[in-house]
Amino acid sequence: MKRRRYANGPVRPQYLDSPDADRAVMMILALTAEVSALRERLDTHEKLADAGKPAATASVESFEVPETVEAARAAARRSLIDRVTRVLIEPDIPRMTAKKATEEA
Amino acid sequence: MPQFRHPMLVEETHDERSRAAFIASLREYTMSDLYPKLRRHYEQTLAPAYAAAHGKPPESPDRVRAVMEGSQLYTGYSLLVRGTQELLWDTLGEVVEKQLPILIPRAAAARATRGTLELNPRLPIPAYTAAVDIHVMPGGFHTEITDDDLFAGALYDRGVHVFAFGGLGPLNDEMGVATAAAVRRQFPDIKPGKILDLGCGAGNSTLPLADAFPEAEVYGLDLGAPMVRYAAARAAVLGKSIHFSQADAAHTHFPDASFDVIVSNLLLHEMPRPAIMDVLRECHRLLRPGGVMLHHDLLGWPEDPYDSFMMSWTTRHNNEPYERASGTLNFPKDCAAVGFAEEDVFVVAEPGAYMEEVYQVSGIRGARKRGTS
Repeated sequence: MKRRRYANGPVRPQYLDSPDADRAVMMILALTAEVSALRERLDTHEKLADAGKPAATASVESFEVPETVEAARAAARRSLIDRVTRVLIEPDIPRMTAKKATEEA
Repeated sequence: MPQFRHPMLVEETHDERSRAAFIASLREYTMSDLYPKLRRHYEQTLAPAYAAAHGKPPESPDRVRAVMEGSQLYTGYSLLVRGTQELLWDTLGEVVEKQLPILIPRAAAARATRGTLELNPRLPIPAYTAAVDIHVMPGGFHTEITDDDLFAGALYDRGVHVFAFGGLGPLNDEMGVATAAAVRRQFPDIKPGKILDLGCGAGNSTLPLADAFPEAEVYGLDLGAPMVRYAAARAAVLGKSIHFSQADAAHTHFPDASFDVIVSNLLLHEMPRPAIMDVLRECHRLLRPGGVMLHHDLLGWPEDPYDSFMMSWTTRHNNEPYERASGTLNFPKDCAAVGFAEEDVFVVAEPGAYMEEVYQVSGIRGARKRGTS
């Protein structure tokens, strides 16, 4: 039993200047998901500790996330995404090159 | 809103839940934040800059494309949406694959309790769908990776919830609820004995038909064996008796005049025009006189060059090559060509149409077959 990990169909479109750059961004997305998961696991540890409970594997796995905690986590995920993607989605602002800036100075 | 945790839904560890939540957040960020931001950027900056250089704004989708593909914001948006899509299937796929040894026997036991399942191992998978894994979902709807497989169904049920960041409700069924409500509201005279859901997938839109018409026998069909195996088990654990079968909506095994109501949800836009015509023809054959078909999907294609360009994003980036075919049907004439009367074609204004606020051209349309049963 082995799932396929690529989709049949047209080749992946190219987005940045090289397909390798696209791959690197996709790898960063996967790693960011991992950072987020680690952060939430740590948060569960903290919430258990706040309640005076041991952070044993079973209590971490069975932790029911209260709505207020989930809302805070959603906001944290959003902030993380904002920080990680900032340079990728910059608006198109005409920028002066260093050379031109020097010439004009 | 969290997904309803029925016994067929894949179980996730703490970390797996967090990864899925992160992907849902990425989806929400790109769709709710970046998508409108992109339009503002086009309208306020890119189109005026083009107009200043050319004396008029971009007048065709191709011109819009040239403008947009030179934009960092659009490039970043597209890469993020495509990257999120690939991450979604791979991340959730890992969890589903790991749990198949539990889910497969659980499904078999559930299916034995109620409903029916009819498989057709010899069903030819049409080339148009075999060649392209729709939505970039590896394996598409039909690929089987083990005996009695339900991988695609389990993945789709969980994946749709993450993809829509919960926007289709805890059971991913809001489209199906709207379609069923449309039948009730528009055709109060029809007391359906048998209802068919074409391209039913994991059965998310099939179950609302059983809720809306408790007296009716409800059938669902899909090309994918893993889809209907999962759908039948999911329906059973949710307490619904439904008849699922593996079949091609364009050429089914049911006799003429079998159904009072036939529906589809987001099926037609994944089919090329000849297959859509075959489906409409098959609906006419399968309906009893006086019966209706309703298709919940695109109603047209935007004329505005920007909207038209953005509509075709999924064709270029999300393996949905046929989307334009469904949006450019001449629906009344096409229905007439397969046997319906042109004046019996209708469009239903039903709240809850899929992504209406984004696409503005989605909704429910259909036709009623002449005669009385």
